[in-house]
Amino acid sequence: MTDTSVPAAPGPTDRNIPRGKRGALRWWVLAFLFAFLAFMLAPIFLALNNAIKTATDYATNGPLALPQSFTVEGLLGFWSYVDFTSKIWNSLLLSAAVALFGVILSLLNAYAIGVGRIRGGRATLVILLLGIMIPQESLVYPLYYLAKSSGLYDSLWAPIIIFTVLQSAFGTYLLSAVMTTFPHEILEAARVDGANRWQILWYVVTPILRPTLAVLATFFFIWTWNEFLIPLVLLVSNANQTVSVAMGALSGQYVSQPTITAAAALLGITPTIIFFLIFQRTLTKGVVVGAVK
Amino acid sequence: MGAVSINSVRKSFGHVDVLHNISVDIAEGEFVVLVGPSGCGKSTLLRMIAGLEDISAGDISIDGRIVNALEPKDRDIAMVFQSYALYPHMTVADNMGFSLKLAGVPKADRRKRVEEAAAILGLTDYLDRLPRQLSGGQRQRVAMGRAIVRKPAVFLFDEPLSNLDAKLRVHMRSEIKQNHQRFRTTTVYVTHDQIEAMTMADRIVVMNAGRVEQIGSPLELYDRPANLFVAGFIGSPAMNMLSGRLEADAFVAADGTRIALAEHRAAGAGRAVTLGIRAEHFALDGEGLAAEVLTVEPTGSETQVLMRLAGQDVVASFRERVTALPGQTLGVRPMAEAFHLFDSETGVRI
Repeated sequence: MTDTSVPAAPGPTDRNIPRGKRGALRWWVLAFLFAFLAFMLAPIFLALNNAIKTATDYATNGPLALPQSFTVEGLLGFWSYVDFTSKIWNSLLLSAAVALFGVILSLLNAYAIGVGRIRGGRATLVILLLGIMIPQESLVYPLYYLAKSSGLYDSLWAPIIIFTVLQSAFGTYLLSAVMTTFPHEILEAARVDGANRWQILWYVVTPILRPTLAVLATFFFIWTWNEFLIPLVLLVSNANQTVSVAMGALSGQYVSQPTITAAAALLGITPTIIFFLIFQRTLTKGVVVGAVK
Repeated sequence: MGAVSINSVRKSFGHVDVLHNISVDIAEGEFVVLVGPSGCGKSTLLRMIAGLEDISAGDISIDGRIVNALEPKDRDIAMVFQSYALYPHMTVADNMGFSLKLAGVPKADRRKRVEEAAAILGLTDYLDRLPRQLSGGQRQRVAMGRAIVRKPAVFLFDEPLSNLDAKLRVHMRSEIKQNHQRFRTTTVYVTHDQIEAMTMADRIVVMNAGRVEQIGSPLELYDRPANLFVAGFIGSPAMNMLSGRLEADAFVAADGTRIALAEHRAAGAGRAVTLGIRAEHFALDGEGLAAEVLTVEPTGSETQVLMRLAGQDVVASFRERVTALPGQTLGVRPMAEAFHLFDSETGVRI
């Protein structure tokens, strides 16, 4: 039995808005959020919708119609054609290595700039930031020759090193801002307790910043996973290519087979979504951590 | 072990001198409080003892060994910070045992020492908690525990009670004092609160604008302040200061009121002086000086009266209950044997 005659006590924040308007406002907000959600999910829906159709179904009903048929041929076809297992493995290796090394490099840089207050720290930051401000297209040529002459061309190490440096430019910028506001007394307490610089970094600073580092690693991972141009240029052999390069290579050959393209898109974004779902708690924690003193 | 000697120490930040030629000798086991208004350099001096701040000139020795060039960890000191500076990601036990871990003390030994300190500080039930799960007073105890487990030669406290509420502050004050009596470790304690200084210290160093104004036991400073600054800083309510000039056997206030002195002072007759009278050194006397009552504040045990005497505002406290109303006239007699006379120009005690 439900008792509708007892009105719920208004929350403290709602008091200033009249009851009727409040209800209407909420519906508007909800409607807006749903529209936003639909907008965000539309590409994933499109990919999913068309990846499981047969080619005939697609040809008859168009890309927006719900599937009348069900097949995983497109998915399997793309998977085996581009040897997707090895592409995933390469992408995973590249992204994970960049996330790890990038965070380590950012942490070391930022520790020197934010906590160590080294001379010329600000200038160093500006130079580092040039790395992300200069368009990648203009870096490709020199990077190509650099990779060639150092013998790292067509090796995963080339993009690992390049992206570690590029991503850590942003990481250094972010972390040094965080470290400048790091409570000084805690660092001093650690010095009095007998910690040297490495020990302060390892035992005190890193664990306290762990949520921020996790966010940074997640971003580095996703950004690197989505990188296309530099891996395309540096990784020529099939065995070394990443997911995004494989998907790019596809568009020329399978122009007439949109269901396979859709399957490729779906397979391409799935790992990132899975990765995000695993780390979403860390992400939200890391965003909140600055607010809680 | 644990004597601290500060010899002609100076500190400057660029061209700004913040400490001028400070010399203080602290005996082993002594509880010395550095007190002064904010910005007087007391915290800087403490941080120089700790090794967190470079010494511009002079030297500091601990236990007979000059420590100017030594890192904080090599000075055999422990410090309690104003914000406690606990490691937020470590449990109470890990916070307290961190220095021992860094020093390579075996785990079992570490645990034992942490538990001993926790027992003394009443923290045994909290060892597995994180600092954020503790109250202000408990955090303060953890900070002290972190210092105690190391058994250092010198404890340094930097305004450790200023983040606590008034009641807890009084309580922790006596806890710190008790711990000092138990361990007898040399302690240097910085505060801007003169009551904290008076109640805790064996000896107080009063500082102002980067200089030492006076060093002495709490009662010495209270009874014989060396200058106007110390006289005004130590004691609550603050000492009443009347300006006027000196005659052979009396002080003559600006408005001509004569206040008789206890002794004959022919030497300085005519010079401009400040007469200091503490609030408790007034007696009710119908035949004394006439003072106009401004406010009356009874506290139960005593009555504080703000009154106008010799043309200046004066606070007096009486053990008796005063029934006078504001606007009425009260007869009061300043106790001449407890007067403090200072040269108005130099501020120095006469």
